[in-house]
Amino acid sequence: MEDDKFYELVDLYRNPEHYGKPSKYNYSENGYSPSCGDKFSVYLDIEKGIVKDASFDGKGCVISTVSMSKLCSFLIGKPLKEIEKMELKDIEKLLGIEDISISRVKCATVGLDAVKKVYKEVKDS
Amino acid sequence: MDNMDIEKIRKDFPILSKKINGNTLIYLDNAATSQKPSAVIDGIKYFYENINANPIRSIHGLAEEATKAYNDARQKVAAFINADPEEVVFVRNATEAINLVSFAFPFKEGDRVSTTYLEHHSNLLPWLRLKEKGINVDIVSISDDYELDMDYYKQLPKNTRLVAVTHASNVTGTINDVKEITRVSHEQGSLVLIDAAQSIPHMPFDVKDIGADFIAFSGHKMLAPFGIGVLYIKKEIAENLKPFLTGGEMIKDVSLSKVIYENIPNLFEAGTQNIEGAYGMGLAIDYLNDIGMENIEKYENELTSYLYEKSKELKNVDIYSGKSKRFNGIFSFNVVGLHSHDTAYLLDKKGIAVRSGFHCAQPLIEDRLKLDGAARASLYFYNTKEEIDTFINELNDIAGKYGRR
Repeated sequence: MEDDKFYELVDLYRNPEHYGKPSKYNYSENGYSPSCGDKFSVYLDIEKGIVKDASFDGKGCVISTVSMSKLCSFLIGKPLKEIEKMELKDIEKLLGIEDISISRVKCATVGLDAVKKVYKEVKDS
Repeated sequence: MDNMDIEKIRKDFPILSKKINGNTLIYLDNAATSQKPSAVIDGIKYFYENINANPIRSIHGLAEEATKAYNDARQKVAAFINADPEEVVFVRNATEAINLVSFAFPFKEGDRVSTTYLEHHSNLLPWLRLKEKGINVDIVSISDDYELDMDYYKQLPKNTRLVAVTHASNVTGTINDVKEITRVSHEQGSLVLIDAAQSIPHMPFDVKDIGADFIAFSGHKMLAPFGIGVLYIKKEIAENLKPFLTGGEMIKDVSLSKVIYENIPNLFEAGTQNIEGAYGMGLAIDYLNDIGMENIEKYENELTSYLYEKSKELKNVDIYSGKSKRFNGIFSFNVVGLHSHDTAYLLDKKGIAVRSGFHCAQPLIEDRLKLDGAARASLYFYNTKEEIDTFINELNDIAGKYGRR
C-alpha cells in the first residue's frame, strides 16, 4: 500500500461514517479479530430483506474500522442477500487496495463475517 | 560489552542480513521468538543426517546415539538452570508445561491457586479453567508502576496450594522478585510455579537459588527450534503428581488390569518426543554458554537503558513499559491515535519487526492498562544501538505524520 493511500485511510479511520449505535435497528452481531484485538458490533435495520440502515461501533485498526464503515455504506438500500456472495476481494474493492497482507485479512473481513451471521439469522428465521 | 563482539555474533545469525521491504531487517520481536544461529540450524541438519532414530525404545547402535543425544540435551538444560537431569521434563513449550502442572497437581475442591494480572495467557488460562473443578483462583493485582502486590504473598489466603507467577512480564517488562515470593509462599505451605519464558533467555538462572517447585520455559525464545520447551519439577515433590498424558515410554509395567508408571522425567514424556528439538536446544545452550549469560544480561541492560534514554526524543508516543524497579528489554508503546497494528505495519515498511495487539495478555492490556492493544519492541543480545537509533527515528517519523492527541 502506498503511503498516500494509507494516509487517506487513517483520515477515514479517525471520523468513520456510520459510526455509533442507532436508536432503531432489528439485527445486531459482534465481530472479533483476536490478534488485533478488534471488537465491533454491527447494527442493521432490515425491512422485507432490504437494508434500510447500517451502522457499527467498537474499536479496531485502520483496516478493520474503514472496511466496517465502507461495508455499511455499501449495504444501505441493498438487499441483505448481497452479502451472501461477498468475499475478501469485494472488501478490498471497497477499500480501494489490492494487497491486503495475510496478517490483515481478518481485520478486513471482520465486518463481512458479522453481517454474514446476520444474514444467516434472517434466512433461518 | 567488552566480552561481546556483536558484529561477530550477528554473522552467526543468517536471517539478520535479510531484506524486508527493501530495508535490512531490524528484528525487535524477540519476546515472541528469537532468531537462530547457524550452530542450531546446521545442527538440526546434522541430527537427521547422522543421529536420527527413535531413542530409548530401540537398542540398535543408531538408536543408542539418539538416546545419548537426547540425554545429553537434558543434561545441558539441567546444568544451564542448575537442576538435576531427572528434574527436567521436555515439553512443547511453556504453555504445555503450565497446562501439565494444572492437570498433574493433586488439587482438591476448595483449594486455592493464585496467578497475577501480569501474566501471559499461558499462566492464566490453565488456572482459570480449574474453576470448573471447584478450585478458587486469585488474581494478584499490580500497582501503577506495574509492581506486584507483595503484601498479598506475605499473607496468602487459606488453602492456597500453588502460587503461579511470571518472572518477567512480556508487556511491562517487570522483573518480579520470584525468590522472595517463593520464600514467603513456602513458609505458608504453598508450592510455587514460575513462568520463566521471558527471563531464562536473558539472564543467569539458578533453580536452587530461587527455590521454586515448577519452572516453565520455551526453547524457541532462547535460540532453539520451535516445539521444544522445559518443565522443571523439583525432585522432592514429583512423586505426588499424577501423569498428564499416558502412552508410550512412560511406564514400567503394563497389563490390562494394572499400570505402573515410570519415574520423572519419563513419566511426563509419553510418546515419541521432539528429539530434534531437544538436540537443537542443547546446541542453543552451548551457544549461549559460549557468550556467557552474565555477559548477555549486562549487554542487554545497556541496550535497554539506551533504548529508554533515546525514547525521550519521541513525541506523540505513549510508553507503557519500564516503570517497575527492575525491567528487561521490553518496550511497549502506542503512537497516539493510531492502532498498534497500524503502527507495526508502518514500521514493517521500514524493515522493523515489532509485535502489536494484546500480546496474549488481554486482561492486563484491556482491563488494567485500559488499552485496545499496544505495539512492542523487544531486544535480544544480537541487537545493536544503531538498530535502536533507526527504530526511534522511524517511530518518530510515523508519530509525526500520524500521531494525534
